[in-house]
Amino acid sequence: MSITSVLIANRGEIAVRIAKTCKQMGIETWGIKTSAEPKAHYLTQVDKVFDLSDVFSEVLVFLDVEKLMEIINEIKVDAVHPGYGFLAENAYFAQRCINDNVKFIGPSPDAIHKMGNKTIARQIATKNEIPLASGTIRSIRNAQEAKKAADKIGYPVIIKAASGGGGRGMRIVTKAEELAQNFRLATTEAEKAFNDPSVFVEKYIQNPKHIEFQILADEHGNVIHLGERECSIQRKHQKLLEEAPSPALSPELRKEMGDTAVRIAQASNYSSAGTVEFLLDQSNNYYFMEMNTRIQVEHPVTEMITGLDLIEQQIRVANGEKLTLTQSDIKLNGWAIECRINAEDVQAGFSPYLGTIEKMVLPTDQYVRIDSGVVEGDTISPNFDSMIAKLIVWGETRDEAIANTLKALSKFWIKGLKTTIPFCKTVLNHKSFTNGSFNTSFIENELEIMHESNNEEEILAAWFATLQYIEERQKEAENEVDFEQGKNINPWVLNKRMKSF
Amino acid sequence: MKFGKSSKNEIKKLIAVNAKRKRFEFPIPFTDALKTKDKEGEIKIKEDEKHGTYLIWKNKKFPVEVLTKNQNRYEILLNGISYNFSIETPTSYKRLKYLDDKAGSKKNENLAAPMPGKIVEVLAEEGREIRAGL
Repeated sequence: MSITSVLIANRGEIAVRIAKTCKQMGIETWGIKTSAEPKAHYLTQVDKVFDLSDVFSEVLVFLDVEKLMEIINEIKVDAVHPGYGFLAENAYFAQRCINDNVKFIGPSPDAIHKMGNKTIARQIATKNEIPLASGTIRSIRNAQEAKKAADKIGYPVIIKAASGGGGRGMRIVTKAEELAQNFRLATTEAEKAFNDPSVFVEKYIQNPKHIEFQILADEHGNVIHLGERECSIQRKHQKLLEEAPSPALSPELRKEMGDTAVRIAQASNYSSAGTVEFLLDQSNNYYFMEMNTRIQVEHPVTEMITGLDLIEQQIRVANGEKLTLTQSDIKLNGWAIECRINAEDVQAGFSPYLGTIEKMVLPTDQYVRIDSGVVEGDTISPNFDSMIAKLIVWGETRDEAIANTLKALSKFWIKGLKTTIPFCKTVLNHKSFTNGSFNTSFIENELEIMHESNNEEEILAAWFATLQYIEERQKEAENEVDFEQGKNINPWVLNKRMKSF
Repeated sequence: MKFGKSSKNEIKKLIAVNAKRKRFEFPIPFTDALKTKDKEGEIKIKEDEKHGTYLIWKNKKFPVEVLTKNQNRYEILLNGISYNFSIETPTSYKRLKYLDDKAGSKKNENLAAPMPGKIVEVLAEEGREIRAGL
C-alpha cells in the first residue's frame, strides 16, 4: 500500500520542507499545533492541523512518543516523517510506529540502534574493514581502563559518549595527567545528556576536515551515494556553513570514500537516506566517525548538485519502492553552498538573539533557494533553536558559488534581530575558505574577526545615533510624550519630571 | 540647535563615543553632509514598507535600526552589525573622561547571562561568596 497521508512530527523549516515535497507527490500532510507556538508558519503549509495548543505540557509533543502514537492512531495517517532532531533517531519511536502499522519514514529501528550507538557502529566498521581512528571497540568502565587504552593509542585522545552527538560528552585529552578528570567529566555529561554514561576512547585527529557522504538505500539491498558535503566550518561542533562537493576531494578519493560509505550502509542493513561522517586528516587519510540515520539540516546542498529531492526518495523507500537510480546515474553538477542564517549575536559569542523579525526581504536571484520556517512578524523564542533560514546558492564553479552567495547575502535583509549574515560574509571572503585549505579549527584559529565591518559603516552608525539623539531631545523640548522613551527611564529623571508638573 | 530650555550656551557639536572610547564628532547644526577617510557626500534616510528604514550613502543601501536605547546610549544595528554609542555634548564628554580616569574602584558588577533563557531558580543569596566551579 502506498503512502497517502503523512504526519510531520516536527516543526520549523524542516516541517515546511517535508510538506512541500508531500504536496508535490499528492500526499496529505498533518502538522501539530503546540501551545509553544500556536501561530507558527509551518502550520500554514500543511493540509490538516492537529490542535494541541490548549495542552500545556512540560515535554514538547515532538519528543513524546506516547502522545504522538495517540495522535497517529486518532488521525489514522499512513506514515510519520520525523524530520531531524526530536525523535528522528529514536529506535523506540520507529518500532512503535511499525507495531501500530504506520510507516516510519527513515531507517529500520535496528539500523537506528546500531548506528546510533557509537561503540556498536565502531564494531561494525572494524568487522567490515572500514578505516577508523584507532581506539577502543568496547565502552570503557573506569578511568584506569581509559588510561591504559589512551597510553596504547598515544596522546592526544578524545573521550566520546557512546550514545553521544552534537559535541556533548566529548573531551579531548592531551596529557596522561588530565585523563582521570576528563574521564569523569565525559561520563557525567554523557549520563546527563543521553542517559547513558558509557564512553570510549579514540585517537584525536588534529585539525581534520569534516566530510560527510549522503547515501540512499532501499529495502531491497540497493545502496548508492550522492557525493559528499564539506562541513568543516563549525563552532563547538555546530555546523554553520556547508558546501557540496568538497574542494579537498579528488575524483579518486571521492570514489573511495563514497564506496566506503556504501559499505557501512550495507553492513548495517540500512534503508532510507543517511549520512556517513568521516574525518579527513592533512595527509588525506580518512576515518569513519559516525552515521546519522536521518535527513540532515544541510541536505539541500546535495539536492542542488544532484537534482534529486531527498524527502521524495525517503518517502519512496518507505513505500517499499526500489531505487530507480544506480551509482553511475549520479552526476555532480556545479557547486552549492548553504549558509545557516541564525538569530545569533556573533559579537557576543554566538549567543541566541531573541526578538521579533520586523522585516525580512529575501534574495530572489536565480540559483538561490531559501528554506525557512519563519515569516515577517514571527519571533525567535528561547523555546526552540534560533534558525531563521537556510540560504542555499548554486554556481557552476566554486568561485561562482561563493560570489553568488555573497551577492545573495547582501540582499538578505532582516530587521529586528542580529543574525549570522555578517559572519557568513566574513567566512566567504576569507583566504583560507576561498582557497579551500580550511579545516574544523578554522573559526577558532584562523578567524580573528568574526564579522565584517568597516570604519565607514561605523561612521554611518554614529551619524544615525546622533540623529536619533537630536530628534529625541527636540521632541522632549516640544513637550511631546514619548512612551517608547519612558521604557528605560532613569528614576531620578522621572522624579524630576513629576515635580515639574 | 538648542537642547531644552535650560541650555544656556548653544552646543556647537555632539560627540558619539563608542565602547572603546573612539570619538565621532558631528557639528551642530546637524547636517546630512558626511566625511569619511576617503569619501565625502550626502547621506540620506529612506523608509519604505518593504525594507523599513535604511541609509543611502554613495549609492549603497544600509539597513539601519535602533536596537536598544537608554538615555543617551544607543545600540545601532547597521548592515547586520551592532554598534554602541553614547552621545555626548562637549561638557558631558569632559565629565565622561573624568569619570573614566577615576574609575577602577567599582564595587557592584553586573553579571550578564551568557545566553538568554528562563531563570528557573536562584540558588545564591545576597552576601554569599561565589567561587568559580569546575
